[in-house]
Amino acid sequence: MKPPLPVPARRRTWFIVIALAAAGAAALGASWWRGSVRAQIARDAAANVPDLREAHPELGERIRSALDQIKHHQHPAAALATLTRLYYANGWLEPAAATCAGMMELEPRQPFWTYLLARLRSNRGQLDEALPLLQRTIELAPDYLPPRLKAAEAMAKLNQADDAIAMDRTVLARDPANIYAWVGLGNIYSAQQKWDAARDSFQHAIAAADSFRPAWLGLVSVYDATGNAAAATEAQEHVDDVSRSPDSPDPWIDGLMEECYNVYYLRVAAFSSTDLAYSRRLLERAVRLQPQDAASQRDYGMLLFQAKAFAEAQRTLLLATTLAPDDSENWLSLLVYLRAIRDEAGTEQAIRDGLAHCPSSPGLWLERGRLLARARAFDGAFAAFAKAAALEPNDAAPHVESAVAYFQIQQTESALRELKLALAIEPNHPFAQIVMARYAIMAGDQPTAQSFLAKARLNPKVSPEDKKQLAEAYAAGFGPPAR
Amino acid sequence: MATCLRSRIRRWLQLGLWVAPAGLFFSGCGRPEAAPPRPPAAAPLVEDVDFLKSTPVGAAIDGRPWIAHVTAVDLDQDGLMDIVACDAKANTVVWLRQTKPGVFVESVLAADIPAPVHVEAVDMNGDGHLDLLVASMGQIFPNNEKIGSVIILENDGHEHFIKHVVADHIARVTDVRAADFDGDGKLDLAVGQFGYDQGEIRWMRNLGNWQFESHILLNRSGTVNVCVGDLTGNHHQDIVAVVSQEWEEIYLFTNDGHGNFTSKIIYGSTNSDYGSSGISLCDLNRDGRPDILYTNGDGFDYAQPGSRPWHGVQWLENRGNGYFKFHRIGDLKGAYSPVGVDLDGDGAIDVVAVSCFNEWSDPSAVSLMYFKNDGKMNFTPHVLARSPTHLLTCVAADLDGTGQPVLVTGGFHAYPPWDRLSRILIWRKNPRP
Repeated sequence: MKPPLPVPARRRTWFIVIALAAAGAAALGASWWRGSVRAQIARDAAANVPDLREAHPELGERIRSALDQIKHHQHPAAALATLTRLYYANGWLEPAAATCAGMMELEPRQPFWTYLLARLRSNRGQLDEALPLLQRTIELAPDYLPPRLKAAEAMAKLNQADDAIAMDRTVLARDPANIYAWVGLGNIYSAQQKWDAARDSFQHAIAAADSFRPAWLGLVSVYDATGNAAAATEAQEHVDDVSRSPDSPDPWIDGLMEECYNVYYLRVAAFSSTDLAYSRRLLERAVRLQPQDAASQRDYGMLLFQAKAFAEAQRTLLLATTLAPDDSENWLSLLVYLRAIRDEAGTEQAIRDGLAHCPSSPGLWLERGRLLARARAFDGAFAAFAKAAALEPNDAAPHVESAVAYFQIQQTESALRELKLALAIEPNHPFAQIVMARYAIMAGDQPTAQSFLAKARLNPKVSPEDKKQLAEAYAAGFGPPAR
Repeated sequence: MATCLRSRIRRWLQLGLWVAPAGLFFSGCGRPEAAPPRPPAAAPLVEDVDFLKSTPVGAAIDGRPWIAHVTAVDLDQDGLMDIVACDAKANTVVWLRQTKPGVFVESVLAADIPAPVHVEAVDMNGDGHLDLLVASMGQIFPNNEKIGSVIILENDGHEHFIKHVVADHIARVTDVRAADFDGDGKLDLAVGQFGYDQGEIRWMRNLGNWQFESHILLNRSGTVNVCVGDLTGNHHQDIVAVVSQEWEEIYLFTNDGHGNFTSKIIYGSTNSDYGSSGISLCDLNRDGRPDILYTNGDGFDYAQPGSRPWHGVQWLENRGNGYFKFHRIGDLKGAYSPVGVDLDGDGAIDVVAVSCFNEWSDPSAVSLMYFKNDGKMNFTPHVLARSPTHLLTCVAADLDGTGQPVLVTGGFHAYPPWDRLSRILIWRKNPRP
């Protein structure tokens, strides 16, 4: 029989057992308490529930399920995260901010939540609140560049130009070809009227991406401000007509749109992105959510066309005209496609069907006029162009098309009359300016020729080749033009 | 000995009971001290569609009206308030003259003004007659060409208005206001030019005899409104402007009294699709300093115009010395034309706004809203109307001479649906039962 442990050893053993039991109890208690606190954080953050009456059934179900989980202490962080994503993607921005603030408490080292709340605040213009959040995001995720770009933008709008410049430069230190940082710098220098620095920044962006619209626009502004009209015109030639400048890609935020159930928002987000694959995913989601929505089908069809999926594009565009035959945009989009694939019979049919449903569409009357002019059915063409002009008096196109048709049948005076009408609506219409200049040269009318030549020179929509040819034609007729 | 052991066990258990909470404390289970503040829940919407009753005035609807701006002014100074409006489709400025109480007769003041979008009444030449400043865009739809102009319609006092084109072939002009910026006793002009890719803000020094000299304040596209007033308390006329497009900023141009301006951004959003749509000045909190009411509701960026979830109404509280604090008032999809007026007569200035870009196929979409001020700058949204749709402009004035303000709205129907049209409406209080 073993002798019993000496008294001091027994005391130590009991001490250890009790200490371990106490520590275990403390840990269990702490864990329970932590869970309770986290559950309470989630409940508080989720208290602001949006009105779900008009929500898509699946969206409503997902939100209610997440709220239930929070209510019953089941995975509150995961549930709150789901709510945040769904609220943000579907436009409930204040509830999204509340749940996002909760997620920041629950996962303080997860940069996504800090960044999302920063974006919610900065988008609203609450830059004083947004900037510390952006800076915290940068600390947590130093290699993810969008927060740095947004921070630079916020600093510039807070009149902290030097800080904004420094922040853009931290982006360039990691990504020397980042066009958004270069344009950001260019805009700051332009605001400071440091034109050389601004010009250099925009040119850096163009060197990295020569079709980047914001950079060319920035250059135009620099050249305008410094009185360099020729350079401004040349830069403007690189800017396409009235399209939208793209936002910088931001995968953390952009990805949230794939949780959106509002087909209009999906379409807008798809339109705003330069990432074709991303736009396609969003539009596919839109047509899946609402297959009867003609506008979604139309947008999807045009994207398929852009992606060269022609058969599917045609099917989808036709579907749009079937779903909403009285929306002329559907027929006009179909016509863009049919013209591109040179389907004359299909074009004719689409115009006929379109006008049957949309007799007041100026765009469709214009298309009818073009079709008839191509077939040399000029009487019908002129009537169609006149109808288009009557329906849309602010569009120069019917007058230009009429002028072209009149020239084809040698009715020069009528053609010139239409060109003058076009120029009254759109003074810088390139075709009208070129033709008026050429006609004046042929007619020996030097003052008129000089006037149109000068306008064409300054017109960014007139190509350099056309400008050169005009100048040569003028010189041949009258000698070198006066500068 | 057993007693001694039990007492030791009891002491250790008591120690454990203290250790557990200590563990809680050191384990960081408490809520972080600096948790981000939670935004307050939005005030619930109040249905108040019977509060006002609308009456059409002026010419009958012909086609799809494009009324770009309305203002209220006693143009002929006969003691009866009139309405002056910009018809951007007919390219006219029209006068709805109140010939006798409640009777408005419309006439064309000026024709062949391409896309007029803003009109202000002011006696420019000091002859005692109210002239009209007109902002002409040249074309409403996106266009970067220099087709804008600044026009002054000089009132000769005999219901005849002489057109002076004081600037043309400039980036599309969206707003013109008058103030004496250089202290020479003549009214100068502040001009906002939206353009499209390029735009400007300029002030034009009045040289006399309808001649003006331009000074560019900002080379940026997207200016929607310029307002003038003493915003910094320095007793000089400053300029504040809202710039949309991709910029979404509000600029303050502080005047030193001699026409020298220093500029700074007093508000900016990083959302390039924020949709800034208008500002107006109003001392909302009645502290003697003009505040800035601000709407964001433009949805024209996308081929099928529509709303965004961040559209709404806000105010920039003037804290003095050029510092403004942002406050959100409420959401309103497609919000335009903020107006500060005590609509309900409770002594607090409310904010009215209209909606032009909304989901009109949704029967719950709101076209006219007032945000009721409880006197402490807390605002509750009251729906005043869901029909007609596509309202772009609004003004409040005591048209009836009763001391009670009425609203005047203008409809701008540039995209479908076309089933709930309006041109110019007066909205008066429905007598409460």
